Amino acid sequence: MAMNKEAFNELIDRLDNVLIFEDGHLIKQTLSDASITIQDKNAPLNALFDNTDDDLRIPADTASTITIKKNHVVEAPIYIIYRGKTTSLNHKTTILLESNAQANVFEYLYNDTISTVNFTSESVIDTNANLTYTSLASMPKDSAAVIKRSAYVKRYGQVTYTNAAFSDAVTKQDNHIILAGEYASGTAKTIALTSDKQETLIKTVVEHKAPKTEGFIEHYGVANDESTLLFEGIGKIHKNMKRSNARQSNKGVVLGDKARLDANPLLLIDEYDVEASHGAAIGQIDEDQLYYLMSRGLSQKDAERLIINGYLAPLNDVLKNDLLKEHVQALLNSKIQ
Amino acid sequence: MAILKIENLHAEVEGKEILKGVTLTIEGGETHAIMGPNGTGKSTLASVIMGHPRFEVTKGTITLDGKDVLEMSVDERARAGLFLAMQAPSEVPGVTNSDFIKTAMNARLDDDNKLSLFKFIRAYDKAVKELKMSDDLPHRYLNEGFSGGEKKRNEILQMKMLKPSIAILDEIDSGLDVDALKVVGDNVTEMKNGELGLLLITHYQRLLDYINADMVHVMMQGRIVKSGDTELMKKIDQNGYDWIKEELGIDDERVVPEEEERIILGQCATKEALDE
Ligand SMILES: Nc1ncnc2c1ncn2[C@@H]1O[C@H](COP(=O)(O)OP(=O)(O)O)[C@@H](O)[C@H]1O
Ligand SMILES: [Mg+2]
Repeated sequence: MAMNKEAFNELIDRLDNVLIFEDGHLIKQTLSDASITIQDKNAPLNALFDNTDDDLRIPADTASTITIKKNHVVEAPIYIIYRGKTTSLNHKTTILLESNAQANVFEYLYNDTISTVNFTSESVIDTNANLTYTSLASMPKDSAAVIKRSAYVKRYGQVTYTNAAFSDAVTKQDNHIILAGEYASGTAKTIALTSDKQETLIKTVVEHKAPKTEGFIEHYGVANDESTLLFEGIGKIHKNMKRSNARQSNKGVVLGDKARLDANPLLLIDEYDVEASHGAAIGQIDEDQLYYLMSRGLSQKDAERLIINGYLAPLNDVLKNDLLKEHVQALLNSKIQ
Repeated sequence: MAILKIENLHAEVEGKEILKGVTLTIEGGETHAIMGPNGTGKSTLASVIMGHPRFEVTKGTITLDGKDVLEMSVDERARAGLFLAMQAPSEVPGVTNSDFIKTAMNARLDDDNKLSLFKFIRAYDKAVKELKMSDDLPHRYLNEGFSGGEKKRNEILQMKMLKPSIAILDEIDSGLDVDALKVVGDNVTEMKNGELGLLLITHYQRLLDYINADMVHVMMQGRIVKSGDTELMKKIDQNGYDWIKEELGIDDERVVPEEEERIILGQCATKEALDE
């Protein structure tokens, strides 16, 4: 069950520091920082992301570019809401962080009606800049969503993605990080909940195109009912990118009797002098954890809910706003009941 | 006053019989100690009383105030007043100690009488202090990254909040230094209000220096082989268990002989390696 409209409306009404796009048009802008620029076209970056294996080449209907100026630190999270109200959501956003800039962006993809969603977000993180990017998706059942988020990270730059894939749409989510300068670091976490007969593919690629780069992929999943959830995590270390570090973890539980959850962690390494690891722990809820919680009087349902909520911990750590935390909690509960 | 009655209890795990006829009655206000070397079935008894799904009861009965405990699910047993401080409590990442214990307390209350958040926080903070645990404990994840001693104290902390009528403390002293043992001992002793029935499981006598026990039972080969009072405790403290084995003609006190034990442990080790 998708988030009901009232709860969504209330949330976006009450959030400060927002950009709200409705059917591709910026209809509300309450950013407190006047130096952030917003344009309604994409900066031409195709060359940076061109060589990515990318099956998403449907041009977006609408576009925007958000620029954070050099040396500028934006303290307050920027909430960017993309709402497909009457038409389907088909948008591409470019985020440019100039050198030494810092920003914390929260993206919410929301569709009122059943439709197709085609969303792309491309970010360029210049030297020593730092982007924290959190995303949440909520779309009704029978929708189809193709979502791609990419980051190009230069020397000493940092990007951290935390994606909450909570929608009811059949989803293909790509998260691609290119570590292009020495000491660049990138983290891509996705927490995915699937229900009903939903099919979801989460593909995360971190490419090390410079030496001494660090990449972390974390997948957390809960597959309920008859849904199918697949994680593909790829750490790619190109030749000569010495002393790079690629790590990956996959954790998940299968709740539904007919649900499927798989993880295919992959390391493509063309260099010896690197560190790399991957692990996968996918299965039922841990019997001993369940027993432990129930031994204190929690019903099996409450105990399961609490354990699954535990998977949200990486998300709760980045959600700075209590309103949003509650909203996310409600979404979660609707997916695992 | 609560009364827990265990009669001729037999239980097995993976087709192997571990408990071979345990009979024991604990009444509110009493403190019993079960002592015995490793591998004699003490933790299995505790797990079976609490209802761990891995064990199967093949014979015998457990009742709490006349009600059939074996018919109850694990959570029903807890809400009926049973509590087990586990020898090796699980770690549950992402679930904070305070969310956990709050949910557990609320599970005992009906919808109209849910706990006030304010009262809960006050009571919890107070209990955390009394156990000399760190202030950030409520916000830390349940047992995650806790030292052995911290885990034990967290068990007692939960017990303080849940106020059971019958509590079983399994090796609560292991992993505790003398200071921590005193803290735990004082806190448990304080909970003895004439109503609480306590079952202490230990293989060292030292716990009983901190928590007085009225009765002591020695477990070997999956059953209670000897019961007594403080005299027996002292004798075990001074002379160990060999004299009891001699007296009863027991050669190997363990439930599962050594070579079989190794196979079981071997399987566990492989499983853990896979889980990593
Ligand atoms: N989950 C289990 N699977 C297989 N064997 C078990 C399991 N739990 C306990 N045992 C076996 O039961 C016997 C008694 O163990 P336990 O009850 O833990 O003893 P104690 O607590 O007295 O040290 C041991 O031989 C142990 O290997
Ligand atoms: Mg034991």
